[in-house]
Amino acid sequence: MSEERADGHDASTEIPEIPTPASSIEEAPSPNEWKDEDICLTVSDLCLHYGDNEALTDISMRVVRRRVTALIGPSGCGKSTLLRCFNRMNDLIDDVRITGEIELNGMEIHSTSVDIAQLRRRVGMVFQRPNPFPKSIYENVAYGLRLQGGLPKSEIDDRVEWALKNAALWGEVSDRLNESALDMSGGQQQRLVIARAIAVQPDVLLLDEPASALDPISTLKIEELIHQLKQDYTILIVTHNMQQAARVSDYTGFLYLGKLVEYDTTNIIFTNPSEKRTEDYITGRYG
Amino acid sequence: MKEHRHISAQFEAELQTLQGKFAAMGGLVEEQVRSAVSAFKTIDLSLAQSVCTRESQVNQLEMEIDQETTTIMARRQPTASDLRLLVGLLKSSTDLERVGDEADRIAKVTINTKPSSPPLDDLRSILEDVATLENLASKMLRESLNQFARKDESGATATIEADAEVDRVYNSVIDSCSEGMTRNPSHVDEYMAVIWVARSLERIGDHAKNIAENTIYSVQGTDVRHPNIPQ
Repeated sequence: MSEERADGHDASTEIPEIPTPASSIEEAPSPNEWKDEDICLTVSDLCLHYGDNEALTDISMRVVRRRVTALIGPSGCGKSTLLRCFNRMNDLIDDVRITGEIELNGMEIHSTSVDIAQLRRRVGMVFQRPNPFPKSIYENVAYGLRLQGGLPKSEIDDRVEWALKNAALWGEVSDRLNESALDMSGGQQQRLVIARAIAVQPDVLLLDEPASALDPISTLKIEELIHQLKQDYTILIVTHNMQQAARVSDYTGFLYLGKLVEYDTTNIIFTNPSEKRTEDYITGRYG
Repeated sequence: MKEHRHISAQFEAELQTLQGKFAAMGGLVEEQVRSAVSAFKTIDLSLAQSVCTRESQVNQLEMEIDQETTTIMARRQPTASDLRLLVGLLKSSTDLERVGDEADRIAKVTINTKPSSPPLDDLRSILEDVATLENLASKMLRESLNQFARKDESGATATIEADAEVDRVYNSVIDSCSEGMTRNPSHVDEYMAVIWVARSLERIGDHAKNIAENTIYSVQGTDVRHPNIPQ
């Protein structure tokens, strides 16, 4: 060590500032940070009975606009039943009794003034198995638009193209719009069904096991599509596949025996859940 | 071989962000080592103090990398090369944080040691060896970080081999200091300060070697840490 000291330099400027890159790992706001205007759906004290069997018990939850909310839980826990409540698909089943409330952007969906066809246009649904109509690719997407009536052909053309592009399908089908949808692969058919659902520009998309009948690559394409679609839509997804819920959703609700056991950000649910039953289920200890 | 992108653009972005954060941590830690050794050589107490102050930034980055890696593992279920990359990042960020600790130690030695006047000729020649040690350890650290970022496993092998030279120079410094303390017992504190700094630099070489081993694991899936243990 020499005794000479550094002469004259300003030590405080010796080390340059090294900017830390901002995290792009999405952190959805936790439920206590939600504002009223962020909420698309509000469920209050919802109970559902099939005859004497209670399938859903006192469900209360809020669903955030333009986010993906996943419902997970073992078979028979009520997750698909809950999903079907949001567009009143359970009305089609005999002997169903529902109490409690569901508000879509402030409108109580069970109100007598609600037009169910209109509700189902605002709350679109995609099922486990792709269910394209036995029509052309174009006609599948245009179908809901024609039902609305009054749209000129040019606007229907534009909306079909827009929907197919948003469903990440346009590049694969733009030169064969008049071919039968039934000739498409399973993954393409499911994206076509999603295009059909978004063509009528709903507020909410309900996805009931949308990828469970697809191969792994088609599944990842659907998941990437879900990630893109949440910029415009509020998405609720039911899945048996917990890993899929972890990959695609911002929020996750764990249902067990018809009850909402825990509902939080997906980060919390999959790294540090509060409830032991949630922990047991997601770590594969469910008995 | 060209790497294909993931189907999930978000997963791709998350991995890139994490690697960017690790690179930023590496840059900060390299600068900490450079400043700490510079402060020691020139007895610049304010520079040494600024190294100690910045130590918390290194720790903060390590915690962020740990937390984000955990989140990615929980939510993306990475496999194969993605899994090895994340394991490599997690382990290497621990090594980088410890390099930051060594820089902090060097800065504290500077702050706590009172230099003699006039300086000993004997120490001057030992400090030349310390400068060599610093160059070798800093080069290992810089190259190990570049190799991790570039997935350069052959470069990483060279970095692992370079650690032997760091150890040789370190042992030479220790021997010289031991002899010096015998000759100049009234200057034991100064020799001890040099020993502490040399020891920190040797440890920095070890951590760089660990990062190089993590690179090889990330790229090839081969664990080269303990060659005598069959895989």
